[in-house]
Amino acid sequence: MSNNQYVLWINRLVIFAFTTYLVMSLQSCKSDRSNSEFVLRIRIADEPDCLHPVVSQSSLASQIEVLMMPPLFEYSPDKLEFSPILVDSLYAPAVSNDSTLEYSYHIHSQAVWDDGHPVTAADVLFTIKSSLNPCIKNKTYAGFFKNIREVRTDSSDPKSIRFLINRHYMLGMEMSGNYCIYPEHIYDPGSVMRSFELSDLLSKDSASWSTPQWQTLRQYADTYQSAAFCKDKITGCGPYRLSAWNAGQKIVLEKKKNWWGDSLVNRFPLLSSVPDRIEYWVIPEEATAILELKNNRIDLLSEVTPKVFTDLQKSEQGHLSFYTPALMQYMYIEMNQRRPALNELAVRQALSMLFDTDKFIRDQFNGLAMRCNSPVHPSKSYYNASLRPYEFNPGEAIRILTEAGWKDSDNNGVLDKVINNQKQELKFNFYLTNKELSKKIGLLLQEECKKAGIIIELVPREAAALMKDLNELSFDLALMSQRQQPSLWDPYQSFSSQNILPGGFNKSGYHDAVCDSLIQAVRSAIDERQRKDAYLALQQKLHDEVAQLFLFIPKERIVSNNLIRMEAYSRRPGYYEGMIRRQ
Amino acid sequence: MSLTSIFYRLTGAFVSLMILSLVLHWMIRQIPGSYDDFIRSEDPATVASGDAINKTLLPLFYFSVVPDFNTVQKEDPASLTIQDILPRFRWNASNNIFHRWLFNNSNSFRDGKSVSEKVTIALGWTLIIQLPALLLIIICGFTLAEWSLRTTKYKLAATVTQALTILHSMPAFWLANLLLIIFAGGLFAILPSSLVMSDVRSPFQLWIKAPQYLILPVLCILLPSLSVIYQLVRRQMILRMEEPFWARLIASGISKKTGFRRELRPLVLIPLAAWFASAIPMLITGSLIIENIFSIPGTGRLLYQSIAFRDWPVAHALILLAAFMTILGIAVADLIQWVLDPRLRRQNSEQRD
Repeated sequence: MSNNQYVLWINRLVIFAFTTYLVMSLQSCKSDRSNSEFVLRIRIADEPDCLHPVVSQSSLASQIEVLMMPPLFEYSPDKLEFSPILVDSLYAPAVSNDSTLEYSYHIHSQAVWDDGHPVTAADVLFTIKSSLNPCIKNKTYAGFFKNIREVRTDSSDPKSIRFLINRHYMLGMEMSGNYCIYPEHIYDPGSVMRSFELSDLLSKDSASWSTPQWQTLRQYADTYQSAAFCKDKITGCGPYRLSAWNAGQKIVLEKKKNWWGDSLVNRFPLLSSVPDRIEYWVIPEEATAILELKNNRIDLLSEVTPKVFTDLQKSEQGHLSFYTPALMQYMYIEMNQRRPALNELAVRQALSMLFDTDKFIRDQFNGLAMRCNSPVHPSKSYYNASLRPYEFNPGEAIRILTEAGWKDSDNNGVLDKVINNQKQELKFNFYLTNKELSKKIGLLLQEECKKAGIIIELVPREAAALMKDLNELSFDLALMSQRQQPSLWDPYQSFSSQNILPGGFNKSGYHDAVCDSLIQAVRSAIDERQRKDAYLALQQKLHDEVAQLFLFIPKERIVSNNLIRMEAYSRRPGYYEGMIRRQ
Repeated sequence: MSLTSIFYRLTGAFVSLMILSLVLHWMIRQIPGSYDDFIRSEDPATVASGDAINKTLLPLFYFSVVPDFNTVQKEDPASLTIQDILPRFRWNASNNIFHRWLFNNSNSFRDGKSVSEKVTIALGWTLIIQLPALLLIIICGFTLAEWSLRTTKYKLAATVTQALTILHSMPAFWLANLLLIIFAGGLFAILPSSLVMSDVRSPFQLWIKAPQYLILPVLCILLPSLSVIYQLVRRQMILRMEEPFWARLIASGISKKTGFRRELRPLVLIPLAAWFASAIPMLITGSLIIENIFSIPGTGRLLYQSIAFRDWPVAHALILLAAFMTILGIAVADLIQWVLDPRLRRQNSEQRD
């Protein structure tokens, strides 16, 4: 054989060997779900920023953190009522004095951290103190705790804790234990935060601290919120521990062996931790995730687009399971009432009659959404069910506008009116995100408004840029989405006249004295009946005044394979990992 | 290629990168929104840190010459004096964004991780896909082009040309989904669709533990690009074959196969080197579409996310890296051409004489 032939044969051999290797490796493509342990695989579109409850800012992070660092108590996903986790039971608060309520808890005697240290009241106090450190970047927790008056621990019983909380604040119960608890001896081995009094952390501003104190706080905060604590060192007393976090790939939680909470599951359902492992796989593309689900390589995916969801329902019925709980979130159009035209009730009412919400839900959401008439979720006991939506009625909208004096005086196709000696035309910009769904809402409103003599200019923006424009109040209309919490709804941020300054949370600028007094009544009511009455009246007021143009509550679209059995809930993310079982 | 020209090249590259970095910093300031704004867009109730915003308010460079208005002056232009609006030299020392992001190993706004760590991990994933794809593009393109000229099955060769052109005109997104449906979906389901499911920690373990996960992404990069090399090599070879030396070679009794190997291949390598150089930045920037569809945590996805999240230190590092690789690619192409083309070397030595 010549040299050339040798080379040829070697080439053929290499190609044959490589092909054989590839073909053999294809065997492992098939799902290899072992029966010995229950591994729950959930698709996530993106990974969280970090796993550190005080530092992290994404809802996905909260979802994972709570499995490792449970709070004292949490809203049960089905009834949306508080249910104990780390404490023996929940009692009604005692009235300490005219302005203070006292909440007392006893932490389970069995509750221990991974290293065997007991979970104590000192850990709870440490959690609050470290969150209140003024050098912590994320101020969300600091704002949350500001109505705490005092936290009392008992040296003779380290498992007992008492909170004294401002009586005139409606979220007192949440403040007393509805947050992840940190182990003090791991996150603060030098007991740095013990040298600071809770009262000082609650009351002092940055200028009031001495230089050495400030430096200590700064140094502690730098370590506490460092990247190392955000990813590698997360530890808690929950049923799962972080087993792996491969950047951009997956997050794996592993059930702890002989976990203390297993013996208490019958009495405390939120201690349930059925899966032996929970794996969150980062699969950004929906089509790929669906393929993986069909091939049983993942068990569960949520936030499926409505069209794909209904297609799957038709084609995969029997092979996959489908869930559509109503999410605790609503979509609405914010109307900047600092603009003279939008300050008129008639214009706001007309706009709400020019958007065909039912048609939109039917055509674009495939029916997977429900109308909303108020910022309160319909599952809440204080939801005002008597509110009737503004039906799509262009004729009535034109009539209302004509009655209010809006007419096309210069025949340019746009309604106008003189307000405060200035001619105002019904021309609005409409800020929205550049997502497909947002654009469709914009186009539908634009089309109907044009027929009625209102010009809408669509301004699609990226999410971050949109928020900047909202903060600068450069918008007329803006499409927004608001997440709701299982806790009592606090209307102060979005609707109080005290929040209308630039940078405040009341972006619409809506203000009304009656509304303010109702907000005050909601926040300070001690009697639940009084609070409910105030809530109902407030919703009626917001609806009548069209404070926001309420659109719809999207239904969550969850698909699972038939290897698992689960319940769907309206509480985000729509399922509870610890309670998912194997078929 | 003299030492002087190498020196000029290096200096030019350094200055270009510095200017690009400054332009990038300026652009970052013009783009609305910050990381905190993005977080608030998900949950308006979040009380933002302000940290991400403050970092971009540092001076751009080691010195400034533009007027430095403070907020009060901006709100009340009447209080401005002539001195306020005249350019003034200020020395900012290392307290500037350029220095911090380039030399202080800055951290991501999003998760506080070191930028270099994030970029290195993502780069590993991108290279593991792009590098074999690039090599296959060259090998397959070259082989197919040569075969199409040697074969007597003209119809088959024409069909191959047609098929490659169709693949080239197909959008990457469409092709990827098509391959997924055929090979990972209900039709055959013999290949995995998502690279993350390979369950390997490092990208380099993929070759050993789970090479099947590479097949579809590599195919998606390979198939549309194959036509470029195929056409390039084919055109160059046809041009050479029209020259008198080829007729003389064949007339001398040498086989067509040997003629291709000994004479035509080296000549085609020169334009191919130029294409290879232009493809080098692709190794770094990756392909967002392919990385999204096959769940590859590579640089394309990282760049997209860092821009969407306004995570500027990461975006800045990736763009600079891509620019550096472009400059490097051009230099490598010149070097390869200089080595392969004796005319260039001769020209050089004549100029020196």
